[in-house]
Amino acid sequence: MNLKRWTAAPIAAGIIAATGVAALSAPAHAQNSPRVQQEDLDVTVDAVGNATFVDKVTRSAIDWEQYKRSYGGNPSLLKRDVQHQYSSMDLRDIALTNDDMNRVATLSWKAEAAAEYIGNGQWQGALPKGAQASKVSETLWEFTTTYPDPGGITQATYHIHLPKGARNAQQTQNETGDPVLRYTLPDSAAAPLLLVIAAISGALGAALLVVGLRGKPAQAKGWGPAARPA
Amino acid sequence: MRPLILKVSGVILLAVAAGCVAAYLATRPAPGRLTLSIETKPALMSAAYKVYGNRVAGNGRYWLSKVVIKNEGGAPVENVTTSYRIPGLADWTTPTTYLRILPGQTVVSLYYPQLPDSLATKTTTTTEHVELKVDYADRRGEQHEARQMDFQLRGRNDLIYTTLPEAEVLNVQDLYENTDLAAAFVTPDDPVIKYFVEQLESKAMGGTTVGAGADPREIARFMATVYAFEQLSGIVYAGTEGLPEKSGTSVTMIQKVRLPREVLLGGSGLCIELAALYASISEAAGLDPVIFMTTVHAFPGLKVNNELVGFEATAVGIPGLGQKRVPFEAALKRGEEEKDIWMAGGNQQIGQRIMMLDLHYLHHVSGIVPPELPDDPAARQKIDEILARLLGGQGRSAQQAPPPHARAVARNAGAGGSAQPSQPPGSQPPAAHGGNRYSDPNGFFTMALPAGWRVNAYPAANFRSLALQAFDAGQTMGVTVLVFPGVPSAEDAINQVRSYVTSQGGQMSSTEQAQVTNNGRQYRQFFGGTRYAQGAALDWVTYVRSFAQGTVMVSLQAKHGQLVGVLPQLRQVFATFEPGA
Repeated sequence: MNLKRWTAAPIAAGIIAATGVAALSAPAHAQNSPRVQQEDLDVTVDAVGNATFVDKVTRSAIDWEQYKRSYGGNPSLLKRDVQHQYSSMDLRDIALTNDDMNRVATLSWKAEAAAEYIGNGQWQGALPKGAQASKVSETLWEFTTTYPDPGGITQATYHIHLPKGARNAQQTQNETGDPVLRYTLPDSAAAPLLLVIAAISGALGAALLVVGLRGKPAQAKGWGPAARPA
Repeated sequence: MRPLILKVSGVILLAVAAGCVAAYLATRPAPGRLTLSIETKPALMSAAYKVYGNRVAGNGRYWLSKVVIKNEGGAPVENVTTSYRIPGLADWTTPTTYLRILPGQTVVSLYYPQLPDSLATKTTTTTEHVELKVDYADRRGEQHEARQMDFQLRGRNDLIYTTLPEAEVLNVQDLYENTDLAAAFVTPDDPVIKYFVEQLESKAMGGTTVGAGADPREIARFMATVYAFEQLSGIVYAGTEGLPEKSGTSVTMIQKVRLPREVLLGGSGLCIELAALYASISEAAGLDPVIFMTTVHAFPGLKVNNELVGFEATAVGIPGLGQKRVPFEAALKRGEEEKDIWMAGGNQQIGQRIMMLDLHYLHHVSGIVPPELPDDPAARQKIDEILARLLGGQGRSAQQAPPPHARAVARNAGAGGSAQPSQPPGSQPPAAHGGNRYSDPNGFFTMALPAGWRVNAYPAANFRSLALQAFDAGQTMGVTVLVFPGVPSAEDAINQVRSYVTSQGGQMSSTEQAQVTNNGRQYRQFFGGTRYAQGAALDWVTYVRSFAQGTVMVSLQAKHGQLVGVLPQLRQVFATFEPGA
């Protein structure tokens, strides 16, 4: 899974934040008491490196109004920015739901090519620079990061669900020194069971047949008709 | 019996093996089958050619081609490689290899072309094509696929605001979705811009440099100096030319934007061009510039001590349309007002807010870098000429003379960007009216001094050559006249001054520049500065004329760093200087 773009989670950032003026365009009240908003992003990776992302942000009333004036009111822009931020993936089924009553925005999408296969049964996905992912279980890893947005900062927690059967997961670096989460999956491209059975039974059958056929002269010498009295 | 059992068992096992093989052949998955989905940007900007070659710029969004390769078959596909080229511009890339693509797996191949630096000089639009080849191995053996996609390569002056199809453009964010790339038109590393800044700092600001953390007053003085340069060199706002245009259905918004070096030496600029020029100069000087973008306007600003300062670069005026140039303080005030409006979302006058280009961030974090521009000796020479005109001022044609209101701006520019009310545009400098004509008691010279100036005749008892010192009320600028009877050359006269300064605990430096003519007389021209240990410092330009009886020296002076702003006014004073018979 390519997690490199997660530092700029699009749903939490406004249009202004995307252009680098986040702190400057914050509401006046926020200048006095910068608030922290929470974002949770779940990434579920399947056995072939595709993933489902679910990004959920809960906002204060003021932040919600600001969000509605930016991404919340312009899903096309949000979709485009998500696609920009995840250029190395093929995104599908991007969906946004705004829960006005609870001021919760949920953005979800399916991302193909979220993780790459690097051989020997190993897969890896990029992590943001500075990320320190921690292992919760064999297939669940988490990390937290913060980034500025209009009026304060967003603290984002990422939950990475590796595919069933993944093992030996660890945070390491790729060939360019960037952090990655690397894991091993059993090689699903191994020979099919039928061919394995065929190979074993064929070899065994052939061996028995050869032994059986070679045993005929010996039997003639001891147990066969040639041994009978003339 | 035993051989028979063995033979029967062997046959049975072989039969099982054959059955398994048959079952496998009957039920085996389909072979691997790759599908390619290719997306290519409809147009690239030559000015941003370095951006397109950077896979991390803008979080990777500036690819030229994106190829989604999916294995929709039932078996893996091995050793898939992709490679790209743009004939005539970029050779085949080193193939990217995907060791194995499993059934259902997708890989994404992005092409970031390494385009040549020659694009920085490309001025026309051409249609180019990118070629893609994909090689892989499947059950059938080695496979090869090739594709070709066309795109427009725009000239270096084309700023593409969006590449969205027209039908997808609903609002300003859609219309300006590509506007980050405007940062490529801000060129602080352009050798011509760097040379200009170096010369401006060394010659017009007394060697003072500004940069991050500099005193805000120094930064304001720098901005004022640049503004004065623009006005005195005749740069004007080009008004309504070059509004964004529509072009086809894919590239919907394009604007012609000249590079800052072209504006600096070209004499006029659009709002975005003047903003980019200001930002380029500021960034080259080590400052932290921004550009505020709206739907109809762009104006520069600076980050100073975590505060944003707006500035209206188009205040240099649109003479042809009857709009007058305004003083620096007014341009600053207008910029601040516009910045406040921008922060509030914009209005009908300045347009709806789009974004703020944070140039340090875009250049150094996002990777939106400008093109690699070659040095231009002719441009350097032109800068030298303009600066010499600005600082020397003599001997130029009437067309080159700055208008009176520009002189007022230049004078105010030396005030360090203070909020003092400036002289209204069109007014005359003080030296031309309301002043007093000073006559040297010994008859060596006469000179008209502006009203309010304080005069010290023969101010130094131990240096009788010092004939006159006259300063404005704020002692910001002044004129000193020295008369050296019997001294035959300028060098000797200057050496005498240097000795005097040294005796007073100071140091003096000077450099000779081109000769100038004042009231029909030739003068040698020297630039220099005088520094005293206690901190006092002056910058000056001195005109020296030697004649049969000796040498006369007229020194136009200002506090360190403020000379360029007040020099037009001082030159007016010098223009009234008449040596005695």
